[in-house]
Amino acid sequence: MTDRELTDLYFARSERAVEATQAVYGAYCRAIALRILGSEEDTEECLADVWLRVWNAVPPERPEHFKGWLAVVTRNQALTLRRGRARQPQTVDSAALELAVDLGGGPAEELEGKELGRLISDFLYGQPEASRNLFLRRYWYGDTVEEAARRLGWSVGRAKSTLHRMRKKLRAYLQKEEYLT
Amino acid sequence: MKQEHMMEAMNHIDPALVEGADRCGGEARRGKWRKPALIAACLCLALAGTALAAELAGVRIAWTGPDSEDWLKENGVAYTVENELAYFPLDSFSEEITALSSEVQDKTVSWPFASWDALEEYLGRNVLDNLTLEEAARGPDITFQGSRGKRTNILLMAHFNEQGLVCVTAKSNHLIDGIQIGTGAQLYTELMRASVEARGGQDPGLVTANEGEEFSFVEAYTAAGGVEATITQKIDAGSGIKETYAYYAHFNVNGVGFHVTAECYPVDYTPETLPDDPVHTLSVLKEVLDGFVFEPAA
Repeated sequence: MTDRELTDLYFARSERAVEATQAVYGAYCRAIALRILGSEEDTEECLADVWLRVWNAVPPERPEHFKGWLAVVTRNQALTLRRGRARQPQTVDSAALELAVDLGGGPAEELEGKELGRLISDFLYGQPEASRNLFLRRYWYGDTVEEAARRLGWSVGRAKSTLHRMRKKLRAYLQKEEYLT
Repeated sequence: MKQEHMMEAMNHIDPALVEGADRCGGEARRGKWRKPALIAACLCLALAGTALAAELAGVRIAWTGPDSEDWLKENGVAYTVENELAYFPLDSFSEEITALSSEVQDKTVSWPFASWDALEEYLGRNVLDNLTLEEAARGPDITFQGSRGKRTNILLMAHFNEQGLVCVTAKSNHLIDGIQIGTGAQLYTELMRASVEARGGQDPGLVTANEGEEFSFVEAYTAAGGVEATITQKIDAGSGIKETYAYYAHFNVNGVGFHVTAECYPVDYTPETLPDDPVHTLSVLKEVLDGFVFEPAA
């Protein structure tokens, strides 16, 4: 089933919409949530909230990239749940910390998360596809460096050096945009 | 910047990017090494006057002696090491490098790099992964045309003809325990095929022994990571004096030709006092060969 057909089910308020979404993207969303929450029980709770959120959001929303949008909803929901549980899954936190350390300083701290996210997106669109995907696998999906490297078919050494260069380039980009001192 | 703030920002990454990063993996495996089929090693060490033909891991050592005196006279070659290379499609290299064909014709362009990783990123494909080299000290500088004072121990050379990119050569120099290690990789593109076929077949000789030389040492070596290399050393056929204290290793992985050379690199030496430590030199060479890592293609 295509993403268009899935969203059509939501627009038609079909009872099959959620079931079909679970069939197509259930495993994908589960992996994202589990990586953040680290608990099967919390993951199930998170996913239940995700399906409800999607049902309430579509319509009126008709996401252009349904899968990516679903991933973002799942991630947001998992992080919200995690704050309530006060649990610290290693990989997602270590990834965020790794990125935060290199970008620390100045007005970026004051930026709304939404604006900073938009800037990072703009930066990523200007990067080579493989480097961009590596960055997202590490800092959005929370893959370990080894997992991300294996997915791209790279050596760990190459992945580490590429991530290092990407962080430096992002910092330079944000400085150029005068969001960092 | 606080960790939570960064996590919040990542929540607002464009969903199209998120989706794209989940699709990645298939395309990026293009150009991965493929483990060569194991070949039963048939090692025959040829002495002068004896025909030798052995095929080891895609590297064939051929005696071009009595039956090709004209070849010897013309090329001064006693032994050649032949290596069948694949012809890679142009789209398996980065657009950045293939696009140069509109500006560069019948020329070789060279770039220095600080690491093999950086070289691969520019080239757009994996070339080699070697754990031993990653930890090795920088070796002597490689001189190249147009360097303008830039110094490098890792060099990428792209050779262009009128049609475009025909061949890529990547090489590096490192130092390990007083031994200079030279590593090289050669890749042919699809444009090379026509050129080679017009000449009657692939060029022989990644390693040649000049007239009057002969291979004094030939060994088929299976490295820890599975690489199957041919190791050779040359001597002067007349005097028995080693022309070089270097050992040469050659192997072919999925159509890419590799060579690794190892030779003593003393700080101060003269031809008369050149140290002879073949055991150590050979040991370091094998350590480098053991460091090659490759994964089966998906």
